[in-house]
Parts: sequence; C-alpha cells; structure tokens
Amino acid sequence: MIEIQDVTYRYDENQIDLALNHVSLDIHEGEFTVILGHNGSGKSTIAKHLNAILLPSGGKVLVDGMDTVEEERLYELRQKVGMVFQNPDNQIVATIVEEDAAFGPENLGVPPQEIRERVDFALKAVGMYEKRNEAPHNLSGGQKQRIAIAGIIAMMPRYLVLDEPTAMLDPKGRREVMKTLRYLNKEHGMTIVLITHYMEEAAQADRVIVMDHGQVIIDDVPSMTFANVALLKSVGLDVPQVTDLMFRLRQSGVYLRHDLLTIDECEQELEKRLREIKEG
Amino acid sequence: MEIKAEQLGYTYMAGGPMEKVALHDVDLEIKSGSFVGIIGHTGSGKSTLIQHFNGLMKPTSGKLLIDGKDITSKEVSLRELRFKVGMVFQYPEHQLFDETVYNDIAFGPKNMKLEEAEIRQRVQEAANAAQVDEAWMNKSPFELSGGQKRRVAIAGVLAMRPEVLVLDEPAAGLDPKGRDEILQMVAELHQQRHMTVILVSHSMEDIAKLATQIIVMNEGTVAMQGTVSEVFSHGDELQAMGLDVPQITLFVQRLIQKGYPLSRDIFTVEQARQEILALFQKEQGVKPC
Amino acid sequence: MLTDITLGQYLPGESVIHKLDPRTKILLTIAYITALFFVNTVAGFALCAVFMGCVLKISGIPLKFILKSIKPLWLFVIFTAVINIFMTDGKIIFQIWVIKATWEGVYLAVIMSLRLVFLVMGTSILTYTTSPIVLTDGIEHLLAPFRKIKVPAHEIAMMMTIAIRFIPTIIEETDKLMKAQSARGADFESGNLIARAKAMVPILVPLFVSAFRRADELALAMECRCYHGGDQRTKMKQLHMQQRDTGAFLIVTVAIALLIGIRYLPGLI
Repeated sequence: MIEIQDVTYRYDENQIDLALNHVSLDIHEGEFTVILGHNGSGKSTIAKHLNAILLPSGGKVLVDGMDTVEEERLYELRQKVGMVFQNPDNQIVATIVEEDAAFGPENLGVPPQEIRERVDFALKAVGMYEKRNEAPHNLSGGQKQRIAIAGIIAMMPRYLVLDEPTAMLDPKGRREVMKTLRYLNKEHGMTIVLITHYMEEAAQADRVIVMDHGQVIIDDVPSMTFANVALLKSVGLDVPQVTDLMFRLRQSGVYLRHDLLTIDECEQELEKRLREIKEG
Repeated sequence: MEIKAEQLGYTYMAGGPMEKVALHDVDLEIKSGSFVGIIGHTGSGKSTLIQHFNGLMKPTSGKLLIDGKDITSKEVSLRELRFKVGMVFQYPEHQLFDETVYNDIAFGPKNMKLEEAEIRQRVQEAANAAQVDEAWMNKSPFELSGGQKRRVAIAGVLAMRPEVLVLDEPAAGLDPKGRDEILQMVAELHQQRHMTVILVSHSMEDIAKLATQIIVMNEGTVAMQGTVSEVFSHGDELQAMGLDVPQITLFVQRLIQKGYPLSRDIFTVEQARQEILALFQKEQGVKPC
Repeated sequence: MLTDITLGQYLPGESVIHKLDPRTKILLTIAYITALFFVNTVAGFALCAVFMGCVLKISGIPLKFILKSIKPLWLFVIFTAVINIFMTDGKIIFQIWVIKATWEGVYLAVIMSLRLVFLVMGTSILTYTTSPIVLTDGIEHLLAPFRKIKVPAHEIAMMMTIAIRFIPTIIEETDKLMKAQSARGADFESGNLIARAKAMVPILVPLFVSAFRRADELALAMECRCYHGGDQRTKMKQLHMQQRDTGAFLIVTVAIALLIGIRYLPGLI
C-alpha cells in the first residue's frame, strides 16, 4: 500500500500557491487508479512523490511502510515503484529493444540468466517480444512507450506509476498502451497509477481521482466521477460525449440517470424514458 | 487561393533499394475560404501531403496546382508560396529560437524583406489573433509555459499573413482546456479573417466541430472526400481504416437504426441535444421548460 | 531526406567474422594498424592486399562498400602526397623556383597513401561486421582493467551508447526544424559563408534547447531505473571468447608476423 499522508508541496519557497495542498490518499495493491486533472492541477506532482523524485514539503509518503525520505533505501523504493514518463524517446537508453528492457535489472545487479528471463517475460507482457532485436527509433510511439513499460516491468516493481504516458501518442498508440496496462492489471495483478487528462482512459479504471489546485476534488469509481459533469467542466476537463449529452438533456428538463458512461448504457436509458413517456 | 492535386504521388528515395511510396494517385481540391479537416492514422500519408501545399515537398509524379499553376513550373516562386500558405507543424513551440517573443514572431516577415513599420504592424496583428499577451513581447520565448509558447509559434506563422493556414495536430499534448482555446482561435481565424484552414487531426470530435469538408487519407491516397455528413455517414468504412466517427454521431446513428426519427447530420453534442429534446417534446406533446 | 541515413556502417551478417567476440576484433584491428606502419615494400603491400582480400571474402561484405568508405579519403591522400612529394629531400625530378619534387618524395607519398587506404579498409571491416552496441560493449570490457587507474570504462561506454541511441532522433529533429523554419521563409542555400552560418541559428538554438531537455528527462528516467554508474552492475549479455576467437588470433598473428617480417626479409637472406 502507498499511503500519502497530508502531503503539501511547494516548487518554490517564495511561492504562495501550493502545488499540493494537504493531500491524503491511499493506493491499494491490485488497484487501477487514474489521476485526472488539467495541466498544473498537481497530478504530476503527486506522481513524482511516489518514488521520491520529489519529497514532500510537509506530510509523509509511505510505500509499504517505507518513508520516501529515507535516502539509504532509495534504490529499494525505486525498484518497488516503477515510473514511466510522457516522452517515450527520452526514456529509452539502449539501441536495441531487449538491451533497453535489461537496463533496470542490470542496474540492480541481477544475475545475467535471471535478467534474460525477466526481459523475456516483460517484453511478452507488453506484446513486444517479437521486436526484441529491433532498434527503438524504428518503432511507433505506442510501441516505444510499451518498451518503456517493459523496462520497468523487468525490475519487478509492485507499483507501476505512469505520468501522462499517452499524451504524445496517436489514438492507436493510446489504445495499445491502455490495453497493455489493463492486461498487466488484470492478468498480473499489477497495481497501476495512471496520470492522464484523457477521460476515455479514466473510464477504464477502477478508481478515478480528480485533482484541481493541488487538491483532490473527486475520488470515486468512474461512473460516479463522470456524474459530476458541471464540476469536471469547471476544472477544465472533458466527459465522454454521451455523458455530456445526458447531462445537457437533464439540464433541459428531461429526467435521466446521471451515472452513465457508455453508449450502450445511455441508449438503454434514453429508450426507457421515451417508452415511459409514450405510455404516459 | 485554391489548392488542387492531380494524380499527385510522392516516393521517398525513388529507384533506390529503400524506395517507399508515401503518396499515390491523390486527387483533391481545396476551395478558397473553406475549412478542411484531414484525417487518417499515422503513416497514411497526411503529413507528406500537407508539405506539398507550401512547396516544402514536390510531387515525384502528378501535379499540385495553386490557383491553377503547377508548383514546379517557373511561374511559381516557392518562396512566395511559403508566405501564402502558412504551415504550423506538430509541436510548433519546438521551433522557437530568438531572444524575444517579438523577434521570433517577426522572423517570417523579416525573411519577406518587409519594411520595419510593416513588420511591427504584422507582429502586432498576429499576436492579437493568436492571443499572445503584450507583456510577453520582450520576454524570452523559453520563459513561457507550453501553451503560451505554442501560441507564439502560431503567431509566427500568422505574421506572414498567409491566405491558407495548415495546422498539423495543433492541440497535440494539450489538456482539454488548452485544446479548446487553440481550436477556438483557429475557428476565429477562419470566421473573422476568412482564412482557408486545413486542419490535420486525429480527433474526429474536433474535426466535426470545426470543419466543413473532410479529406480521409488511407494508405497514401485519398480514401474519402466530402462534407462532414457525407464522410461520417460511412462509419463502417472509417472504422475499417482504423478511424472513428465522433461518439455522438455513433450514438445518434444507433437511435436512427432503432427507428427514431433523428437527423443523420448530427456531429456535436449540442446538435444531438436539440434533436433529442425535440423528440421528447413530440412524444410528450408539451413544451418542456 | 536526412532521416534515411542508416546508423553507423553495420551490415548484419552471419559470417565467422561477424560472430567473433568484439574484443578479439578490436584488439586484432589495433595490431593490424600497428603492423601497417612497418610495411614499406611492394611485397609487403601485396601481402596486405591478399590478407584484406581474404578477410573481406570471409566476411561477405561486398567490395563496393569498402570502396565507398575509402572514397572520402582522396582529399586527404592528395594532401599528404603533395606534402611528401615536395617536402622530402632527395633526387630531384623537376624544380619550379624553390619548390622541388623528389623521387624519394614520390616513394614516401605512395607508401603513406597505401597505408592510409589499408588502414581505413581494416577499420571499415570492423565497423561493418560489428554492431555499434556490441562494439561499445567490447570497448567497455577492454577498458575495464584500466578502471584501477581511474579510467571511467563504464561511463565512456554509456556515453557512446546514448550517443548512438540519440543520433537518429536528433537527425529527425533537425529535419523537422529545417522544414519548419523554411516554412517561415528561412533560406539555407543562398548567400556567402557568413550568411549561411547565420541562417543556421534558427536551427541550432532549438536543437540545443531540445537536446538539453532530452538530457534532463533521460537522466531522470535513468535514475528512476536505479542507474548509479558501473558499480555492482551486471550485464544481461556476457561476452565469451570461443574457439573461433583463438583461431582468429593465431591466423592474424601469423599474418602480422609476415607483414613485419617481409620488411626485414631481404636483409636476412
């Protein structure tokens, strides 16, 4: 479990605004959590606290009981909490896919034979095993990002934190990465914390945390999160188009449920209402 | 300004062992004052195509005509063409280089060898159009935030007063608010300045909201071309090419299939709201509030 | 297009030479280059040619690739030749004012040019048959013993790897920037040298800015993957000397002995 206990953070001593304003959260094992928010909402700042890239100005972050400020245990912490970043190009170190996947375990001093096994496992898990001997620069954005994920998986972390991994990808790349993350979560029980501003991605999570001005404003399951259409829009976020439609119809006086996320759900609800009206 | 492609083709390293056909048999027409959306997945040839519009690339077969003139003919000055067709590449903020925001925006007009007063006026005008804050003008562009930098970069293209503006994924990497601001700006350029706008985007929702015409690129050629409703009515074919239609259009199409009398030309949430509300009113026989 | 440049000169293959341990290849190439400086007779160069021919045949690299790598040398060859021909004392062929060409000069020029050509041939075969990453690995291993005298073997190899990794990315970026600035009317082709150098500023500034940003992000990503230099680091791929490496050492040693020997041979007889 990752425990964020009343954490505050300031990027600059002289700044009045807190990047994180007394945030408390628990990330449970096996959970797929999405942290949503516009740029500057504090969502990336939270992520950077999970593996001690940033240390809290106030409060504590505990990873499996280990305080992130303990400098002697930094490598242990970073092995436990793997981090994937936005730009796939700037996190791939090696010139061959499998060499890159091996980079983390090599740093940890894992024996060669075991590295080989871990690399093969990680590349298979992200569906890039067939491309293991290729040069990363010849691959698509989505593929590169999956290699970056494999590089972390090979370190056998307990938590996988991804800081806007899909922001620079095209829709196909985004789908590939999401599919990979869902697979890792469902099949391997990997705990995932995904930072994003795409609501389609949030809709696929177990839990959605919405941040604004360094504070958590919503922490709920996706359907209940997206029920707050007005609030989400006010903090510069989107909702799925059908959810937005239901919201606007409600505002125009049509009685409809407010916790619907998918086309199917909305279709059923709308038909039901129309039938009810017809029948009086 | 009218852009027309006739059997246009482009092959990288023609004749070599690494030969790669990027475009073939492209026929299209972009009328003056229109707002055209170009869609297609990565590798469909859309980036190569748009670089032909301002002469950065020249067709290896077929023709590209600007106002009826072949861009490879002697009549056409490629330099002049670049000033008439402004090109905003993906992540344009990466091209900023000068010491001040003002100088960076003035780079294009300076290359046009304009008078100092004229340059000043154009920079001012472009800055206004791209919502570049007056206070940034003497700052270094590198001090600005990502979204601010992007506006400066777009102003740098607008300062050439192009007749046609080509934008490749202008909202890439921005959050929903930033995206809406940039797209709003593009819409205004089209409506108020009557610029011809060519918008390349992966987002069907954005294209549906803004464009009047759509060109669909697939495997190096034009797969579909027409009005927004014409193109989005071929939802199945688009999906076969790995493209989507806006979720709202899909939703309305499903309701139509179920027999509800709705218009097929619904591409935005607001349109859908009005149509469905009308449906409720009809069923109810009363006016809702 | 700039982005079409292939990385390094590596030509993948399955030959014995491709499969040799990189350390073997690096050491033998160094030995070969050293031996070249002892070669100064027609017989010596003939032997050299035969040796190179055999290596080339075994490696399966087409001759035209080797010729391609020698081609850029011509300017250098002419330069050294001119210097040698006119600067060496000896029997005069012709004289213009104080400048005189000598037979000894011609002789030296020919020898130097041939050495240069054979040197480049040898190193080309090394780079054609060894992928950059394997080469880097080999260098790291060979430098490892020198770590005791503070030679940063791992760091050098890491820097090389990262450089190789980012060359295509940066070439691609340069290409994009040139296009973006051309779209704003930048002109890279006309004007004198100074004007052209100035025209590069709008390319170079963003390129540097982005390189620094990349370096920052990469460093952070590496730290997050527990990178902490070469200490206690393991490697997935281990290098193992095999029988073929022993064979290669033997053969090349004999060849080198011959190359050097042939110089003194006439004297011995």
